[in-house]
Amino acid sequence: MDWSPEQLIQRYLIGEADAAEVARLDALLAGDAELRKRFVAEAGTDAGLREIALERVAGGGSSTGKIVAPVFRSVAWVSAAAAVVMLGLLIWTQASQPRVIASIASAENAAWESSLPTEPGSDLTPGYLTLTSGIATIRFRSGAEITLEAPAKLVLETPMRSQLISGAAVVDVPESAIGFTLVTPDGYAVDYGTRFSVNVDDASRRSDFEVLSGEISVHHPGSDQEVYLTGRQSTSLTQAGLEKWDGMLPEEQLERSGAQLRIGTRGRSTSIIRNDEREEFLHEDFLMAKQSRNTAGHDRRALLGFDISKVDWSAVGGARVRLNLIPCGLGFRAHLPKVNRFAIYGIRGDIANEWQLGSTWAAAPKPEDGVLLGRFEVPRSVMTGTFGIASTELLDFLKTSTGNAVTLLLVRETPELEGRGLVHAFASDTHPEASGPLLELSPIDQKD
Amino acid sequence: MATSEHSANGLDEGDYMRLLMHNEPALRAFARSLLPDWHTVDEVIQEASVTLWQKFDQLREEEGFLPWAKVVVRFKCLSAIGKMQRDRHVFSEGVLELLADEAESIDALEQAAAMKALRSCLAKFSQPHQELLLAPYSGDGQVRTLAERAGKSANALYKLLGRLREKLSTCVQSEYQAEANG
Repeated sequence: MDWSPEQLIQRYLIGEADAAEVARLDALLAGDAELRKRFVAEAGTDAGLREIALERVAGGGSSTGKIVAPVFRSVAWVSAAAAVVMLGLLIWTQASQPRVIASIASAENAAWESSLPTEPGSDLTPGYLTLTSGIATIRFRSGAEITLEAPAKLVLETPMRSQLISGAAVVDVPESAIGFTLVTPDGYAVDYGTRFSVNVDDASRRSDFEVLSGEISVHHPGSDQEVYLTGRQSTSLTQAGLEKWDGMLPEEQLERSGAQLRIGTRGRSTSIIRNDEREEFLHEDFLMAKQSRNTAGHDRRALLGFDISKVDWSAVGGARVRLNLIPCGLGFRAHLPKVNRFAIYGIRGDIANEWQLGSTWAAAPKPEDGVLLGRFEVPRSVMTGTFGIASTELLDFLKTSTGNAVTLLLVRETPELEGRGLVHAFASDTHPEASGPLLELSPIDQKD
Repeated sequence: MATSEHSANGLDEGDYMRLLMHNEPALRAFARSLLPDWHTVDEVIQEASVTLWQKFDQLREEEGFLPWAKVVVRFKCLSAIGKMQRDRHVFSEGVLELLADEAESIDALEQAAAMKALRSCLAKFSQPHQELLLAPYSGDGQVRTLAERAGKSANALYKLLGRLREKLSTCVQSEYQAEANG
């Protein structure tokens, strides 16, 4: 068929042109500057159409950059290069994020300065809120609640993360929002299901945290200090670090206090990728999982190492693995099934100790090397939250492991429906915002 | 954990994020003018954004971001094409260089004006025609699905799509001109 140059361009761009047509277009473009100009304009239209198509698939608004930009600018220590870069690609995936992250649950004599709606019941999108008088409660979609006391300035970032710039607040975190992070000027607190109060003094950049019930951890990234607090304990966070606290309880001692014992990976976690191009496609802040349709190079899994040498198993009645889902910005959610299933395998013995942090795909443990401990599901519409397993298989596996360490292997079992599907990511210990993987052991009488 | 540091140009990672997001559609369009499919465009942009971040301190002022980024993306595109199998339908090296020169000259304002024209033109099409125009980007086989639904052959629908795209293109050109002259 004899296509016009215009038709050839369109056929090329929609992927319908055959080799002869591409060669013909190539020859035409080589000798015609005006046609090259048209071609570049058409490529721009093609890009624009794709942007609009993705917006509509997502059912979102028309401008995505506006949503995320203030969030990133406010996070002073998001600087791990690739993390920042990958998040830049959110232009595509962010379009499908639900924009509403919280609502105003109640307000007493509240007066606001905000570009966001401030009537009780109003839905809130990411943004800034300044409470000039009164008291107001913000309920996040994760279930977390922050009750603000004026004068206070709060930044809403995600359903699992908020930033208190100044003022006093009480934070309530139910089971569904464990891992909720509250950022203050020089650090942040991660909440493990609790109620705590916080007071940020704008002028001195000092934040005082006090746990009313439950447990939180407070982090000072500048000095890498962190402290775990339980009932009625408190700490002060300043530019210099975590200045003082009453009855600081190191992590290992929680066992003795009769509360849950939480074991982190302490840096021993990594992602692996089938093509072993770690530099380009992995990042230390993310534990990634991806399964393509046909075992392709970009499949990813994650390895989590836990040191269980100090555990007195006779006192342990329940075990849970907790992972914090976070967006890493790679891939399209529309290309995934509506529900994605993940499996966690337990690996023990020499192989649990031998893998390296920069492991190749071939050298890393595989599902066949271990036992299946449990599965969990993540709807594709969900981008943040706590996931994991709490199974008798997990507890039995841990109790019968004789070595000092066990390794858990995370795989996504459900493949994407089309190429470039979303890469799921869970926070590692180095993630600047969300807390890393936890192995939670509960005493016999608190078995859940 | 890395900490926030300002580089020699006084720009930090917050600036980088803002600049990348602001210019990302333009960079994607630029890569599209050189690469044969969207899959490769996405890969290249991902790779380029890592390189851009690594070299961010070489950028002297933020006004220079887009032209600077295009140089990096251009290089990545040509390198991606070099790695492609020979049976892929790609342009010759000489034509790619000429197209890159042409595409490099488009600035962010022109890009935004073209996008505005596109939105306004697309809205003038009927709902089924809009759906067909967007189908190639809504997943593999979407055009064929629409064809089945309409009881037409895929070939017939691709022809219709071609005609609609030409019509859209004529509209975008005239709206764009009107904008430029007005």
